[in-house]
Amino acid sequence: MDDLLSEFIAEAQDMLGALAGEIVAWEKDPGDRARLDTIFRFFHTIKGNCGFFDFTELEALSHAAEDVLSDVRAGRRHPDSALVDAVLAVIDRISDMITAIENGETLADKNDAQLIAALQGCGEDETIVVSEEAEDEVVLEDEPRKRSSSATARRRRSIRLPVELLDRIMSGVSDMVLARNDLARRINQHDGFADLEAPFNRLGSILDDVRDAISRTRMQPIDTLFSAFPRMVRDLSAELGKQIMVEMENGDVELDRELIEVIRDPLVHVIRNAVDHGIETPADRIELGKHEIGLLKISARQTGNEIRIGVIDDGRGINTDRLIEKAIAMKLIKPEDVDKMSPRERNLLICAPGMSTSKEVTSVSGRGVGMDVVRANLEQIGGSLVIDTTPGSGTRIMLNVPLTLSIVPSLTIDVGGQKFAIPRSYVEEVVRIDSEEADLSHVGSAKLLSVRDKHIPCVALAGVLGIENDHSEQMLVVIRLVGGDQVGLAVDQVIEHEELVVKPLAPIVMACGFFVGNTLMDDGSPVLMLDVSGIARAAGMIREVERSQLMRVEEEERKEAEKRRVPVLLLRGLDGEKRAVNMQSVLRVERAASSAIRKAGLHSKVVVDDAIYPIAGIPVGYELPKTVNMLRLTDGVEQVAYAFAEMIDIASIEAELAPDKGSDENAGIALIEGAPVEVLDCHQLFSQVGSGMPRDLRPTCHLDSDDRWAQEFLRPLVEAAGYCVDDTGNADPDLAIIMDDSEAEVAQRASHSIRLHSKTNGPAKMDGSIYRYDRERLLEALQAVKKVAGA
Amino acid sequence: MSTLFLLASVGGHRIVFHAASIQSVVELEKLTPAPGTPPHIAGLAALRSRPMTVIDCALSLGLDEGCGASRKAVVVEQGAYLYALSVDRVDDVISMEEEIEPIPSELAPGWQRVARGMIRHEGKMVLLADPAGFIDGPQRKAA
Repeated sequence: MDDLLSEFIAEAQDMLGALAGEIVAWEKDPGDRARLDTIFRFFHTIKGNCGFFDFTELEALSHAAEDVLSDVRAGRRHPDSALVDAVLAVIDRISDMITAIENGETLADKNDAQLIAALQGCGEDETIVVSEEAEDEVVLEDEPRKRSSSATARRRRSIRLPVELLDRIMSGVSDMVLARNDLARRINQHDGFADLEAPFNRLGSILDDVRDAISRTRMQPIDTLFSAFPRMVRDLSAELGKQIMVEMENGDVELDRELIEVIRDPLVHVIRNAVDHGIETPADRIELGKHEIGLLKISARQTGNEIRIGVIDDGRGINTDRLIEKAIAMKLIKPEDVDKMSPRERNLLICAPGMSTSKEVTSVSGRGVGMDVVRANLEQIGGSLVIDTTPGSGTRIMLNVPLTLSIVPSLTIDVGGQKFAIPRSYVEEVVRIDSEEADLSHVGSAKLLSVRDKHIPCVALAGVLGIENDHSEQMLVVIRLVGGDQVGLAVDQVIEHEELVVKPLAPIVMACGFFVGNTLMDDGSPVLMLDVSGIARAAGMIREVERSQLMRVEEEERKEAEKRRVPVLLLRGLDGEKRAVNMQSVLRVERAASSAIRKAGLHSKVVVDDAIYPIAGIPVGYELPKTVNMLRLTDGVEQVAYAFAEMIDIASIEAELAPDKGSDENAGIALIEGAPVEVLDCHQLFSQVGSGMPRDLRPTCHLDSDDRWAQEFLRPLVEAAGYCVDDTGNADPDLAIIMDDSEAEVAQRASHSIRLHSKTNGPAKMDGSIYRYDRERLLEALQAVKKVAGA
Repeated sequence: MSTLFLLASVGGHRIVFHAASIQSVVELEKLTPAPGTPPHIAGLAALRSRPMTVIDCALSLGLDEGCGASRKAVVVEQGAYLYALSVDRVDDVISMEEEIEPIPSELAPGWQRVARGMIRHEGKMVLLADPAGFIDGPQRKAA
C-alpha cells in the first residue's frame, strides 16, 4: 500500500504541476473547452484514486468540483469568475492536502464545507468567503512544516529519474554480465588463476544482485496494481448495494513501471464502470435469472507482443443502440455511417467525450468522462482498447498494452538443437511422452495426448517451425491458450525455468507470427520467445482456439454454431463400420493383446494392468488379431473398453442427432463431411456391459471369506449376477450363500439365504438347498433374490 | 562539400552506404536462426546486449547465393530496431562529393529496390544503397 500511496502522491503532484498553466489559461478564457476538459479530468482522476485510500475529504472536494464542472460542460452553468475562483480554491486546497498526506499528516477537516458551498453557489458573497479560505490555507501550511522533522523518518523517500538514464544503466549492467561471462570462460581455459577464483566469484554474485536490482527499478509485477482492486470493488459494491465476486489472474506478468502508472487510471475507470453500470443489483439479477452475485474478472496475460489486461463482467452489457442514438444526437457520427461501423467500432463510441448511456449519475461514475480518458491514456502509450459486449450477459473490455520491455517468467526448450522460450503463464504442465500417465496416439494426421482424463491435441514444434530434427521429441509442453483451450507442443527437451528480459522484435521477424520477442541469454546469444497462439494457429488448431470463451463474444454467430457441436473421435469398428464416439467419454486410447481378452458376447472382458474391464465392439464370431485397438470409455464412475479396427480422425458433430432406429448400439446418425456416420450410444453401452447399477445400490451378498471355493468359483458368478460381495459379515446382507451344513450366524441376519451342497447325491430338494454346480438353478435363485432385494 | 560513404561488396558488386546511417561494422559470431521468416532473414545476433536482426544482403537482392560464409555486417538502426546487413566484404570509408546520378533502368528488380542512385568513385559508377531496401527483402507483401 505504501507503494501505491507514494505513487498517488507523485502522480497528483505531477498533475498539479501540469495543471498550473491550464488554470491560468482557463481563467483568461473560461469558455475554452479543451482546458475545461483537462481540469475536469484532473478532478475525476483524483476522485477515482481516492477510492484506493480513505481520503473522504479529498474525495468530497474533488467530487464537488467535478459536479460543478460537469454542469459547465453540459452548459447548465456559466463559468463566471466566481466559479473559476472557487475551482481554483479547491485546487489549492487539494494541493495542500496532498502535501499533508505526503508528510504523513492527518488531513485537517477545515472549511471544506464552505469551499464546496462556494462552488455550488458561486454568488458574490461566496467569492469573499473563498478568498478568506485561501488565506486560511497559508496558515494551515505552517503546521505540517513544524512537524515535518518527525515525519521525515517514516516517509518513503523516492525520486523521479528520466527513463533514458535507467535504460543506459540497464544496458550497461547487461554488458557487464556478458563481459563477466566472457572473462569466466577465459579464466577456465587457463590454469594458474586459482587465486583469482574467489574474488571473481564474489564479483559475479555482486553483479547478479545489481542486475536484479536494476531490473526491478523498471519492472514491477502487475500484482502491485491488481492488489488494490478487490478492496476497491468491495467498497464500491457495498456502497451501491451490489454483490460482486472478483476473480483475478495476474499471469505473473511484470510490467514497466512507466506503463503501470499510465494504465492505473484507465483500469480503475473501467472497473468502476463495470461495478456501477455493468453489474446489476442482486434483485435485478435474480429477476433476470442470473446468479445474484455478479462476477468480475480481471486478468493480465501476455499475448503476442502486448500485455492484455481484461476486465470482464457478467452484467447487463452496453446498450449500443442508445450509444448510437446519442452519438448521432451529439453529431459525433452521421446516421448514414452507422451501418458501416463494426460492432467494436460502435462500442468504442462510449469513449467519445461526454458520452454516457447511464441515465443516473452516481458518485461512482457515469459522467461519461472515464472512457475517453481510458482511451487517451492507452493510445498515448501505443496501446489499444477493445470492447465487446453482449446485451444482457456482460461486457469485456481489453486494455492492450504494448510490450516495450518486460521480464517474463519463461520456460526454455530445445528443438533440433535450437533454444526457444515460452512464457510460463501459458504453460499448463510438462509431460514426458513415454511416461506412465501420458498416452500419445495418432488420430489421422493429428496426435492426441491423453493425460488423466484429458485429451489434448498435439503438434511437433519442429514441424510447425520447419526445423529439422531427428523426431526424437521427448517432452510435451501443454499450453493453455487464452480461453482455456489446451494444446500440446512436442519438443526435444525442456531446459529450465528462467526469468527473461524480453525485448521487441523487428517487424519483419514479427510478421511470421511465430514469435513475440527475443531475449539474450547469459552468453549473449539471442533466443526467440514463441507466440504460442500464433503457433497453434499455424498448426491448424485454430478451431480449438476459436472455441475459446473469450472469442465467443466477438463472434456471436459462430458461438451459436460451435456451442451445439461436440467433438467426436471417428473410427472404424471391428465390423468395418465407420463410427463416431463422443470425445468427452474417451478416457484413453490403448492396445491390448488378444490373449488379454475373453470373448463372451455382452460379457466379454479385457485385462488391462491387472484390472478387468468389460469390453464391447467385438462382433459375434469375430476372430481377434494379435493385438486389438481399444478405447477406454468412462462415465465418470465405471470404465468400459471398446474395441475398434482403426482410428480415422477427430471431427465435430452437431449435438442433436438424427435418430437411428435400426440399431441398439447407436445413439443416432451424424453427418460428417457429408457422409452419415453412426454415433456410439454410450448410455446403451454402459447399461448393457457395464455393471449396470452403481456399486452401492447393488444388493449385497455374503460369502464365507474362508471358503476358497466360494471365493474363487462362486464369487465371479455372484458378481456377474449383479451383486456386491461383502466378506466382512458385519452388515446385514441382502443375501447369504452358505455351504453344506455350516451354521453361519450371518444367515440369520440376511434377508435371504441360499444353501448349497457339494454332494451329487446329497439331501437334494429336502431343505431347498441347491447342488453347487447346478448353474441353472443357482442363477435362477440369484435372480429371484435380486428382484426382491432390488425392489 | 564532401560526404563520407562506406564502400562494401554484395554478390560481387560494389555498393556504398551513407556512412552517417551506419552505426558500426561488426564481425558476426553465432547466429540464432529465426524459422518461419523470409529467406533473407539470416537470424538474430546481439550487439552489446541489444538484439539485431541479421539480413543477408545477397538473398535480399534475390541473388541465388547468400553471403553465408561472410561474417562482416553493417549495423543500421531503423525504427528503434537494430539490423545487421551481412555483406561479402566491407572495403573502405571514402570521402566524396555527393553527386548522385540517376539509376540506369536496366537494373534487376532486387537492385532497383535498394538503389537510391549512382555515385562515381575512382572512375566507376557504384550504387548508393538504402538499408531499408535490404531489410524489406523481396517479398514484402507476402510476408
